[in-house]
Amino acid sequence: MLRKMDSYSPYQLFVLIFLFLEGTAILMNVGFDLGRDAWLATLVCTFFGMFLVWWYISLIRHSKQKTIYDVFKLALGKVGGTLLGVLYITYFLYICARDMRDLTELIKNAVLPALPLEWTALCFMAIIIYVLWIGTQNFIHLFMLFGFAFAAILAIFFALVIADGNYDFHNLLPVLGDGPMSVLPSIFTQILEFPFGELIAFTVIIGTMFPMLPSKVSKMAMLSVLAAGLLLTLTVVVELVTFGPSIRERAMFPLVSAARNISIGNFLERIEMFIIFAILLTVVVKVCIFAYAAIQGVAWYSGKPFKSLIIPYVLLTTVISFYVSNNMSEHINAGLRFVPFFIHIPFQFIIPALLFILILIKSRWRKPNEQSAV
Amino acid sequence: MRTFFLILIFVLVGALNLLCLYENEHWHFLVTFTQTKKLATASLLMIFAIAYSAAMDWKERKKPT
Amino acid sequence: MNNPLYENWDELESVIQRTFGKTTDFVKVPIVFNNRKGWILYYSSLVGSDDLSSKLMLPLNLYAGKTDSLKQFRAEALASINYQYLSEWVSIARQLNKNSVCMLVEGEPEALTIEIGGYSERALSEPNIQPSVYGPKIAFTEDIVTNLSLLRRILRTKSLQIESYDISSDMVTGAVLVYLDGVIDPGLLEEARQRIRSLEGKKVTTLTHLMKQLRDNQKTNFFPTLMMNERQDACIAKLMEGRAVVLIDGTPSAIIMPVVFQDFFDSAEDAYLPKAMLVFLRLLRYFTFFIALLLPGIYIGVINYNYEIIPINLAMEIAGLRSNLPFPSVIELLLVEGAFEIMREGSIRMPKIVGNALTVVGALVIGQAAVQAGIVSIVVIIIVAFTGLCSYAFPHYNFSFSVRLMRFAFIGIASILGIFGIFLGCIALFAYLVSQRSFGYPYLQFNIKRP
Repeated sequence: MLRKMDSYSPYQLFVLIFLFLEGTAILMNVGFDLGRDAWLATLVCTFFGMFLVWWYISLIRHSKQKTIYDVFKLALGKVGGTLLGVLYITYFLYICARDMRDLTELIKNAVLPALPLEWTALCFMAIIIYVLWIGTQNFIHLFMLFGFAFAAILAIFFALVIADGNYDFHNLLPVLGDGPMSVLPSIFTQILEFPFGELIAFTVIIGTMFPMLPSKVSKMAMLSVLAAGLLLTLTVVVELVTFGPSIRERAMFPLVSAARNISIGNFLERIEMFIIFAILLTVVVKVCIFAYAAIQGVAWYSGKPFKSLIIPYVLLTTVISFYVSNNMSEHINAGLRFVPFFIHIPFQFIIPALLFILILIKSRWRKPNEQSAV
Repeated sequence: MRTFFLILIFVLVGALNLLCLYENEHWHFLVTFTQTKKLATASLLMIFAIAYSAAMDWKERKKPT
Repeated sequence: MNNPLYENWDELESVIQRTFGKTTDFVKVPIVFNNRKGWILYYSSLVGSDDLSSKLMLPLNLYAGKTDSLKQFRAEALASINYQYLSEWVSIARQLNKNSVCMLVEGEPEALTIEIGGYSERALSEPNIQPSVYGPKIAFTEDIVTNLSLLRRILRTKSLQIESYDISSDMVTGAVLVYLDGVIDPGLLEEARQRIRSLEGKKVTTLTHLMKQLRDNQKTNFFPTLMMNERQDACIAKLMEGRAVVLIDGTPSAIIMPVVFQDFFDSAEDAYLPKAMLVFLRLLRYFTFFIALLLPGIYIGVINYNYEIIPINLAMEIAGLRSNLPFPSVIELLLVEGAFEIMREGSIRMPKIVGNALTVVGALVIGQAAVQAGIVSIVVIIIVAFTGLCSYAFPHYNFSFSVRLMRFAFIGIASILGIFGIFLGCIALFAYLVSQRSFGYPYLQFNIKRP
């Protein structure tokens, strides 16, 4: 039977959040200074992430607005809201550019070393423009398809890892050997922001996808975060058992290196290409969501239609991605030390917390007025 | 409001480039060949973006008349 | 036009002459009907003489003297034949062109047209383009009445509705829209009706013209959104699923609409297979789709940019084979692909007698001689042959055109960007497919639960 598919289904949200979280977390080295306990930190962060996504969704639901930009306007009035909105547009564009840069670095490193970074970025940018151009409903459908392909590729990858037999679970022991205190600071300053805190970008899209925001949506989102976190933990475990914590600390792209290690019967040698394809799919999802959040912000600010804003702003993002860092090590350094602390924490936690408090105060301040009118 | 648009681009580009350049390159950005290449591609893209938004602007101004 | 058919009986002959021209197959027979003069008009190339004499002349001889008016004559003598009373020459001409006979009697204001068939048709035959293994071996023919009877023979239900449209006004080509009443979506039906109606007045004689107008995107479509089918059981299966079928007089195929991407991987044969086999075949078809699309591109990308993917022995073999060749790998591949396409086109046009010669020549020239002369390497021949084989595994012919086009695009992308280009190209292709709509239905369908 043919279906029209006009409304969104919670399963689409599941796949969307799942791919989004996997995004660059699969690519980059999550918890690189935690050594053996990186997987445990990721697992713990999953639960915090579930709370975080519930909090973001309830922020939108509570204030009964469509996107987080409207929440800014509600909380801080017209001028303050606009200012905060522009700030967030800039933030989303910056993160989008960083993610683009992550992917182009991967391609330059592992797939096309001879091609200049700029060209890779341009080709990727062309695809992002096309994916955004086909419209919101279409690209969310497309991401469903990506979800299937991604699941298939990862399933084959894990099967191959097991078949290869080149793993040693002793690399994981002793668990929490340095005590839990060594893990906790990293959890809150790094892992919570890098995959999980970026869910704030969903506050822009989720209001348009599900106008009423029933509790089913929240539950599905939390389930998705759980699934993504578990998969991340699993990939971290695979990386750790394949080559141990000391090598993992120094690897730029641990999953790709783990895939490179697999060698079955002298035949399946370099299957990293499939992993890179899977990573490409998820990074496309992530970059598209952030770009959508930023462009939607500009559309909200200037009232222009969404489609006409795509090309300039994705071009702008590409330009920024050239200048984000000079080389790969600076990029990783900035991405895992500077950015989460100074940029992610304020935008992802502090400001939404303040907004929540402001909205609660405002709604309580309005209630007594209404009661006095009656 | 579309000319706002150009202003917005300029402001954003300026702010972000300032942020990135200050953080990374300390204003020495024509030193190596890769920097020149980057600058060339970046300026090409920016010119294209600005031209596109200017064209959009002009098209919209033509509509009611 | 409210003018009467004729003002004066004596002028009628010249009026008829003027209206219908001097074609030699137009016959006008003067008759005597109950002591009044009358004319019988018909096209001799459309009405068979047997049918004419048995269905019209015989009753005329028997009953004409006993009835007073044309209406009574028709009701008594010609009761079982389709008829119309017309009073405009344009409609009379249209009916005559539809294998009817027209009777004009002095004193009657309207003319009677009765449908008498009788031209020769092709007998039912086996389908050639989509051969069937287990299912019924009946294909549609050029006559629309036969085709409709083929459909109604299996779907013996009153909810099988057939609406006919006379498009292309004076070139009367009948198009019919067939659907099952309870199953089809009313919005779809309305849309289909509207699209066919919008063709009225245009010159549409063949199915491809009709398809061009019925399509969603009028300009270009890389992937087809309407499916042409000549098998009876395939059309019936699709009708029962809630789609509409359009048939046109003169073309032995039916158009099924709307059609989405997954439908091109169904074959009508699937209904006759067990379920496990079905899953396997479906997977195989998707696999061959990707191979036919991507294999030459992957070959180019891997050879030129990312040779570490293939096992090392194979890589060394290929490098060894390619060491003395004059052309770069892309040119080589395009040469062999070009030769293969030419051979494919040639084998369609060539009369059956010479067909064997073509196969031999093709195999000899391309397979053997070119490789031995050192122009192309044998790996390329294998790749192109395998790709061609995969593209023949599709159940539907008009889908393979899109794949052929896309394949060249992928070769181009792979020669610039290698495997990364193939990845990006895949993403772009799927983004394109997702954004296509066929009658408002998304082209790529996912069956997920909606709230």
